[in-house]
Amino acid sequence: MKKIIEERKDIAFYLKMFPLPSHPEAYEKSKSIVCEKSITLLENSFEKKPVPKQNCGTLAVDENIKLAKKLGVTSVPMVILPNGMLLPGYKDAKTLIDLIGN
Amino acid sequence: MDCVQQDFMLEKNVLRRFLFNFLLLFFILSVGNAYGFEARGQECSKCHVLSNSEAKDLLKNIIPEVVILDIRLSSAKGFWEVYLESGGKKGLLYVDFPKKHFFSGPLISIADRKNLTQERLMELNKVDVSQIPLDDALLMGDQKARIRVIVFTDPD
Repeated sequence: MKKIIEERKDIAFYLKMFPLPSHPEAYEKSKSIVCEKSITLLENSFEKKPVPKQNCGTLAVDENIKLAKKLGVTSVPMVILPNGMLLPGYKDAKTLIDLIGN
Repeated sequence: MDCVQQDFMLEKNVLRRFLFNFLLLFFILSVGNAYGFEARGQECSKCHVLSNSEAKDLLKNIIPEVVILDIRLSSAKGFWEVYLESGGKKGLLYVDFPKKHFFSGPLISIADRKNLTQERLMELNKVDVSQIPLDDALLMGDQKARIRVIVFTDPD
């Protein structure tokens, strides 16, 4: 995604935190990341670095879980293109750019 | 009865059965041509109908809690494409015109080398992006960027 936004200034990614039930710690981490609205914190979490616990009372993560169910999002990462198409799984930058189009 | 004679009888039986099967097949095919398949000036969709409730009856004993979402003719002749939901998951399967068989699995177009099932599913499973609030989302890139791509991700 970093590669893509460098290459294509007209594309922005909006990351929605959606902890899977199979990852027990992900829920609290998601909440903390949403509270801080920090990409760095999310990257740290990907790298297995600790995420300091924050509790700002956000309901966004619970809302995302409900929304994911409604939209048919069952796995992560799930890319949703502007036309509404769902693309499950990791894709390399070139494939993703091709799919996003112009 | 000696062996040679027995063999001969058997052969005769086999031959008779073969002939019978051949005639039967010929008969079925000719009936099929008259009623089962597309006749001149007649559309298949009109002589073959599969309703949602009928599809549900066909599938309910095999697919638990099946909900039929949509039915249309498949681009593969002789099949309906049935879009359904079971246990919170949506999928496609194909039912044949005689309503005796179905298969679930990718339908591939030989000419285009395309997975038609996957393409159709992507189209059917499209979501309305305007329903997705972005105020809680983490932004990567320029907020004014023309193309907004949403990613659901898990921190672990």
